[in-house]
Amino acid sequence: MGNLGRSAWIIIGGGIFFFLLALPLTLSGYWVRLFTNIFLFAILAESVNIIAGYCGYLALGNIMFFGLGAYVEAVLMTKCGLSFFPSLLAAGAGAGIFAVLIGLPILRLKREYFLMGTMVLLILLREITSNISITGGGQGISLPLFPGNAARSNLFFYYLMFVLMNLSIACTFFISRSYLGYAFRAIRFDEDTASVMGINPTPYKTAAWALSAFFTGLAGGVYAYWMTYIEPGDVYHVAPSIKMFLMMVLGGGGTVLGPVAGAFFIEFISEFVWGRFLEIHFLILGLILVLVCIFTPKGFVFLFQGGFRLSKLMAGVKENKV
Amino acid sequence: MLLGQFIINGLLQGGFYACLAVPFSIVFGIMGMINLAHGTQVILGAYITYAVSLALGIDPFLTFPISMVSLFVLGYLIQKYIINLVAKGGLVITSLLTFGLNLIIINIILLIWKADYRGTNPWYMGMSFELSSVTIPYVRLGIFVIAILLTIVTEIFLRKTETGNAIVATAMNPRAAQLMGMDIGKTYCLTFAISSALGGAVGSLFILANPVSPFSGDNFFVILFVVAILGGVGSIPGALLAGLLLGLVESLSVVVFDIQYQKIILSIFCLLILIFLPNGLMGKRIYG
Repeated sequence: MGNLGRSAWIIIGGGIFFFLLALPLTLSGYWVRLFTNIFLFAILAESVNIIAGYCGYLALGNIMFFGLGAYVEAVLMTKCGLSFFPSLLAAGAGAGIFAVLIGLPILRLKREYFLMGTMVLLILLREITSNISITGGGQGISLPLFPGNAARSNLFFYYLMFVLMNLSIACTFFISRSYLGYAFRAIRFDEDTASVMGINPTPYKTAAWALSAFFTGLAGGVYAYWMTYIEPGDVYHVAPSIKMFLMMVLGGGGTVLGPVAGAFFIEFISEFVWGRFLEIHFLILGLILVLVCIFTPKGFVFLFQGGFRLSKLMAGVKENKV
Repeated sequence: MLLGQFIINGLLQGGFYACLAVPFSIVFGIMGMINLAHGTQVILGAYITYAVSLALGIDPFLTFPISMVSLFVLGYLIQKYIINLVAKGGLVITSLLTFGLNLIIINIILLIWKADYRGTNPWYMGMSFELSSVTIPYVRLGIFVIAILLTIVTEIFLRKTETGNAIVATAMNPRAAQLMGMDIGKTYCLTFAISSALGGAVGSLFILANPVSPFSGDNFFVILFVVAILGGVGSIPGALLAGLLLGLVESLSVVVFDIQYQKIILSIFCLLILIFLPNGLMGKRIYG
């Protein structure tokens, strides 16, 4: 993509931004909700990108912060009578603080072990949520309805998700350009070498996971208020977690806009191609996962960089083949 | 003696856990891959037992060789034509790929057998004998014996046969093994096929005592992780020990806490092992 100038990219990016900003004025509720969902997954993919794409720590259970944020939001709004925005802030901050606390022991683990640790944490949070009374247990919990009619509620959540998505993109952009981003990439490349070069990995890894958890928790909080009903099996589900990894890998991990593009791509084809075949929904998602892993393990970005050629697909296969 | 009963229950369940996790641990140790589809391969074996015993009318206990053979073939083909294509792609790619396979297998099971719980009900179900006031159900004892035998046979196969030695050698140093003229791809295929076959056998045993649904495989994650790590990745004797220990922990946790907290206790147990004993009881990775 290097053959386009910098200013051309700013114009394209700005065009898409204002297009999405004006979109709900012309579209029906169905489309507005569809785009809200896409923004939601873009936030999730972008936040998993911070810890997995930049830092190289494969937090496969990262959706736990989504569930945590959703439940903090729900409990604060129903049991403590707080209004939406303060609870949302608490949802994000709660997820971030939890990531710091659990990250100090868990982030010491090597990659496979860290992956397993996050999956076990996801299961642990789901079981705890199902078994205590303040969260409503396995029956789930209902949130207060959004005041106003359906059209207003659609617009509210559309713009809220849109703002959060742009915040997460901006945050990733500043990370990628800052000292923090260089440290993250050094850790992904080789943690031992990074620490020899004077980067103490622990605070950086913890910061990366906390940021990732913060955005995931915010998304969870908005999701809970949007859906007005959540249950443990729904918000602590491993499949969306895998989906956001798929989006990240497809778009290109460790790039600013790759995961967002991956989220738009996957959610669009999910809605229009395989969303229509409920019986084989999993089968097609599984096939996409397998094909992406085989043919585009480095993401679309690398496939189209310097012109697309079919031989590039096969080169990727050859590289990883035993 | 209620405590004795809990200990026996735990040990019987633990033998099953060992056999459940050994193939996962072998694949982890030898290929450095976390096979997220393993639980569902086990469930596929369970459904094969269900279908075969229903269609042919044979005792479900005798169907496990059929699941083993069919999953051996399936595993070989999956490794040869799918996983081998990405085997060098790193952890994120192999985990995503195996989760994709997991979804595909779940969906195929759903299409054939629907989402209902299925179980087998042989005539000796619920029969048991007493051993100094401890009740031992025949089905559980049978599962335990077969599981332990399969685990021991696998260990002997890896240690004493030439093919087994080739697999272990590949795990220890793939490059050196390649220089000695071994075909890594073929060794990986065999490893995964053996792992799938064992998984299939475990599934056949699982459905004897528990009804299964297409999604039951996801419940195995914590058990697989605990046994593989606690036993030392790739070590079969270690897995046996860890499986028995896990069975005891699970069974005795009911004595202290309510049964609904069992999954929470197991998850916390797994986290503690990850944090404090990541190299297992033996203190080192056996190979891989």
